Amino acid sequence: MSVTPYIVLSSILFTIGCVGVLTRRNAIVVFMCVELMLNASNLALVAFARQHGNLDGQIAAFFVMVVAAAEVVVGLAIIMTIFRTRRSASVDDASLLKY
Amino acid sequence: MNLSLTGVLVQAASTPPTFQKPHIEYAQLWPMLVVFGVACLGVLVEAFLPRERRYLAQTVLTLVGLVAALVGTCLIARDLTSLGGVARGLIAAEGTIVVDGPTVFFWGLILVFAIGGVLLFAERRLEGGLSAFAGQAAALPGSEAERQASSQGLDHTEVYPLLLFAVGGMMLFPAANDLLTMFVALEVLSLPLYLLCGLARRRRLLSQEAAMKYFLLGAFSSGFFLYGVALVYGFAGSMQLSAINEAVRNDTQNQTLLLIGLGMLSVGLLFKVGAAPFQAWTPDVYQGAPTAVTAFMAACTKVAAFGAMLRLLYVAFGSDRWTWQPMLWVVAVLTMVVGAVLAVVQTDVKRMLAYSSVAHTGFLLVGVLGVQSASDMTSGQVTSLQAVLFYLTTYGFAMIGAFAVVTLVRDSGERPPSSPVGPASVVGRRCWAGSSPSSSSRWPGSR
Repeated sequence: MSVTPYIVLSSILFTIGCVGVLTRRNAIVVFMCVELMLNASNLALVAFARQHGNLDGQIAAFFVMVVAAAEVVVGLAIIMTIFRTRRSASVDDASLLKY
Repeated sequence: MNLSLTGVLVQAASTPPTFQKPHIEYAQLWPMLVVFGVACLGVLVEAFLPRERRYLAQTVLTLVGLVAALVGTCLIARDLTSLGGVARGLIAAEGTIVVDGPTVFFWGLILVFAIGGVLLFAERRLEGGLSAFAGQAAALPGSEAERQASSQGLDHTEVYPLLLFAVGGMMLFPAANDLLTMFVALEVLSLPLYLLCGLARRRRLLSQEAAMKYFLLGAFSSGFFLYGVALVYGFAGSMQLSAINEAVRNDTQNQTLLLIGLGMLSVGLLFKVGAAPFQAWTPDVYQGAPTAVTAFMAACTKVAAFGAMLRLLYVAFGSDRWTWQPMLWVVAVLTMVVGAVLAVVQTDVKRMLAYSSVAHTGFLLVGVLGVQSASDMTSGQVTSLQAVLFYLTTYGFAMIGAFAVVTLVRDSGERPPSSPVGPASVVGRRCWAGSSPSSSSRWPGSR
C-alpha cells in the first residue's frame, strides 16, 4: 500500500489551513484553521509511521492531540477576553498596536 | 511492505508481552524536574492558601525553586562525564534529552534570567503596593468589577507558576534530542507566555491585543514547525536527531521531503527568535505585555530558541549545512537591516527595544551560520557555539536591565528617589545600539 495519497491529502489540508489563517477575519475561524494545520501534520505523521513501519509517528500524533487540546484552552481564553471587551472577535478590530 | 508489517504484528501478538521500564537519569535531570515540581506546588498554593498570603508564599517558593535548580545545574556541570575530546555529557531519558556542556550552560543562563524576571514580577512599590499584573483578568476593563478588584488590592499570583512552567519548557527546549520533545517543549514554553502577555494592570486593551496577536501568530508558526517535524520524520524514519543526521548523510533520494521539512522547522524557530520575515509580532507583543513579562520573555525565550536552533542545525542537519547556510545568510542580513532601521524611527521605548532585539537576533544568526566547530580550528580560537553562547549571555543581561529601567520610568517621567537607573541605563543604552557591553571596542560607532 502506498502512503502517497495520504501525504498529498495532508498537504492539501495543511494548505487550506494556512490560507485560512491568512485570509479569514474572525479570530475563532483563524484558530480553527491553525487546528486544521496541526491535524494535517497528524495525518502525515501517521502515514509516515506506516511507511517506515515504526511507531514514532503514531506516538507523536498522540502528543500533538494533547498539545492541541492545551492550545485550545489557552487560545479560547484569550479570544473570549478580547470578545468580552470589544464585543467582536474580528482580528481587524484589534489594531491599537501600530508603528 | 504490508505483508512484512502484518508478519511483525502476528509475531508480536504470539510472544508474551514484556514491558521494559524506561530508564530516567534523575541525577542529571533534577533541575528541570524541580522547576516543574515547584510550578505544580504553586498551582496548589493558588488553590488552598488565603488570598492575602499568596503573594509572599508564591514569590518565596518560586525563588527558592529557581535557586535550587541553579545550584543543581552548577553541580551537574561540575560532574559531567567526558565523551572524549572536548565534548562532555550524556544522553538521558531513553535518548530524548541531552545533558551536555551547552545544555547545562543554557540551563544556567535561563535560570539566572528567570530569577531576574521573578524579581521584576514581584516589584510592588512602583504601583503603590500593587503588582504590574491585573487584579482580576476576567473583569472587563473599565467596569465596576475591575475597580473593586483594584481597590481591594487583588493580585494575580498565578503569574509565578506560569513563569515556572515557561522556564521548564525553556530548559527542555535546548536539551531536546528528538523532534517530538522539541515540539512539546516549544509549546510548554509558549502557552504560559501567551497568557502572561495578556495580564497587564494598566492599558489592558493593548495587553489583551498583544496576547491575541502573539497567540495566533505563535500557533501558526508552531503549525509550520510541526509539519516540518512530520516531513523530516518521513525523510529519516526517526525523530532522533542522530538518526536524522545519519539519514541526511546517507540518503540521496527524497531530498524534497528533507528540504521542505528543514524549511518549515526553520520557520518555526526563526519565528520564536524574531528573525526578519517573521519579526512582525515582536514590537507589538513587547509593547503590549507588562514590562516585567517583556524583560523575562526577551531574554529567556531568545536563549532557549537559539539553543534549540543550534542543536537542530548543528546536530541533525550539520552534514547538510550547504542547504541551510544560504537561507540563514539572507535572513541574518535582512534581520539586522530591518531591526536597525525600524528601531530608529520608533517613538515608544519598548517598541524601540523590541526592534533592537530583532537586530540582535541578526547578529546572533551570523554566529549560528558560521558552523566553526572545534575540530576545524586550532586550540584557543572561538567556535561558533562559544560565540553564540557568549553573545546570548551579554544580550540577556542587557535586555533584563533595559526593561527593568523602563519599569521604573512612569508616564510623568518621574523616577523614584535613589534608584539605580543611571548606571543601568548607561550600560543598557550601549547595548541597544547593537553592541554587547564587552565588545564596544569593535563597534566604535555605538558609543
